[in-house]
Amino acid sequence: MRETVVLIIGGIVAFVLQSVLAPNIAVLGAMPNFALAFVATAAMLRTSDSIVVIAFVLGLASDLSTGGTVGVMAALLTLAAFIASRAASLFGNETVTVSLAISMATSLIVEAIYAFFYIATAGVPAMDALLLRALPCALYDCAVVLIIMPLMSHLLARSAPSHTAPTSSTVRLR
Amino acid sequence: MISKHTTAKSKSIPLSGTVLVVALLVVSIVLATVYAREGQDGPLHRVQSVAGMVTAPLQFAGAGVAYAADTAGDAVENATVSNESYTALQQENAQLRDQLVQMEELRQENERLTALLDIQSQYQIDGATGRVIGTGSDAYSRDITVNVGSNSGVEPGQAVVGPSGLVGQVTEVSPLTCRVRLITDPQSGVSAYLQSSRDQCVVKGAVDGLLYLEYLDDAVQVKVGDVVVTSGMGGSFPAGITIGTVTNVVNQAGTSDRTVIVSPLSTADALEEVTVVFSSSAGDAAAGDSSDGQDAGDASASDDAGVSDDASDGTDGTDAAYDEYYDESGEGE
Repeated sequence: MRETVVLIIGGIVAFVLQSVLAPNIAVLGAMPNFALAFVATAAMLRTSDSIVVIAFVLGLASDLSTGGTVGVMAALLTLAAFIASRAASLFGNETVTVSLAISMATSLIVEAIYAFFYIATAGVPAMDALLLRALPCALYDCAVVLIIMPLMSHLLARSAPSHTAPTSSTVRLR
Repeated sequence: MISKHTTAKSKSIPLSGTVLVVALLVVSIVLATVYAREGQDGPLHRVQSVAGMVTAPLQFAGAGVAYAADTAGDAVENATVSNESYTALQQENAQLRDQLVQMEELRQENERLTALLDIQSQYQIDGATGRVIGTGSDAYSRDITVNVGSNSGVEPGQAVVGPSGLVGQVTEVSPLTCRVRLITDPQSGVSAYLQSSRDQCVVKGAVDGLLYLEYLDDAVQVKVGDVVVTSGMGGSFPAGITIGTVTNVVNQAGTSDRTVIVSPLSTADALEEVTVVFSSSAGDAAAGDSSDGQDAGDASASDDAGVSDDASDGTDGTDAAYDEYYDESGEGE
C-alpha cells in the first residue's frame, strides 16, 4: 500500500516537474520527459500492476495538459512501463549500467514511436524528428533517470520492509 | 514471507499484468481515435480545454521560473560587461536612435498616405490582450498559454500578435485561457509575401525552431533583410502583419533550389503581453476586395513605409483554391 502511495506521489511530482521545469531547461528545443523517466525507473524497480496504471494515468494527464492527441502519451507510457519491467526482469542485475541501458532503450523506443507518430500526423521531416528531437530527448531522459533512480530506489526500499537498504547507490541499486 | 519484489528473479510479469497492459493500450488507441475524429467541440477536446485551464497555474509558475532565470542571466551579463561590449552597445544605441527617427518619418508618411486612401481605420485591430502564462512542455510542439479565453471572446483559429509582429494562432480555448501555436511550430504555416517584391510565399515553422520561406518562385530575388508580412490569403491571418526578416539565403549548388531562413520579429517570452486578433478590417477588405486592393497595396509597398502598408491587398477571389494550398503546406506535406 505504501509503495503505491510512493508511486502516486512520484507520478504527481513528475507531472509538476514536466509542466513547470521541463520547458525552462530545454536545450535546443529538446526537453526531458520527466513522466517517461519516472515510469521507466519505477517499472525497473517495481513490477506491479499499479505502475502500469499510474503510467497510463500520467500519460493521459500529460496528453490533456499539453494539448496533444489524447491517448498517445498514455499508450506510450504504458508501453514504457511494460518494456522497462520486462527488460528488468530478464536482464536486470540491479547495477547502474544495466539499469541505464534499459532506461536508454526504453526512452529511445518511446521517443522514436512518438517521433514517428509526429512524422505521420504533422508532416515533419523524419530525420529532423529523429535526430533533433527523439535522440536528444532520449538522452535527456536518461540523464533524468540517473538522477531520480537512486532517489526512487531509496524511497521504494524504505516502503518495502522486506528490502534491505542499498549498501552503495552507485554500484547496487537495491 | 518473501515478497515478489525482493529478488530480480521474482519480477516476472503475471498474466493479469499483460492483460492489463493490453487493455490500457486498447483504451489509449480508442481515445486517440475518438479524439482525432471528433470536432473541436467534442467531449475529449472539451475535457482537454478544462484540463489546460486547471494546469494553467502550474504553467504560470513555470513562466515565473523562466522570467527569474532570464532576469538573473541579464544581471550577470550586465555585471560582467566589458568596455568593448559597452562601446559596442553605445554604438548600437546610436544606430537605433537614428533608425527610430527614420521610422518616425516613415510612420508619419505612411499615415498621410493612409489618410489619403481613407483606409486608416482598416488597420485597427479588435482583440483581447493577455499575458503569456506558460510555455509548452512537449518537445515536439511550440506553443504558449495566454491568460485570455472564451470569456474574453477568444476563439480557435484567431491570430495572435506581439509587440513586433505575428506570434501565432489560437488552437485551443478554455474559458480563462487559450493555447497558441507559435509560427515556429513545425505544424504552423502562414501565407505571406515579401514586402519588397510582393511575391507570395508560405512561411513555415520547423523542428529546429527556424522559419523557412517555401513555395517562393525561383525567379524571385531574395536578399537578407527583406521583410516578410502576412498576405491574408486563406483568411487565417489578417493581412499586413509583420512576420520577420530574411536572415539567410542558402543557394544549393548546381540547382535552382534555395533555402530561405526568416527570423521572427516577435517572440513570445514568458510574462509578456500578446494580443489575440478578433477581427481586422484589413483582412475583411482583403477577402472582399479584388484588383483595386492589389493596386493600392502595390502602391503603398513601393515606399517601404512600414509594416502595415498592405491593408487592401486583394485575393482575386482565389481564397478557396488557396485554402487548399495553404492547408497542404500548413498541415504538412
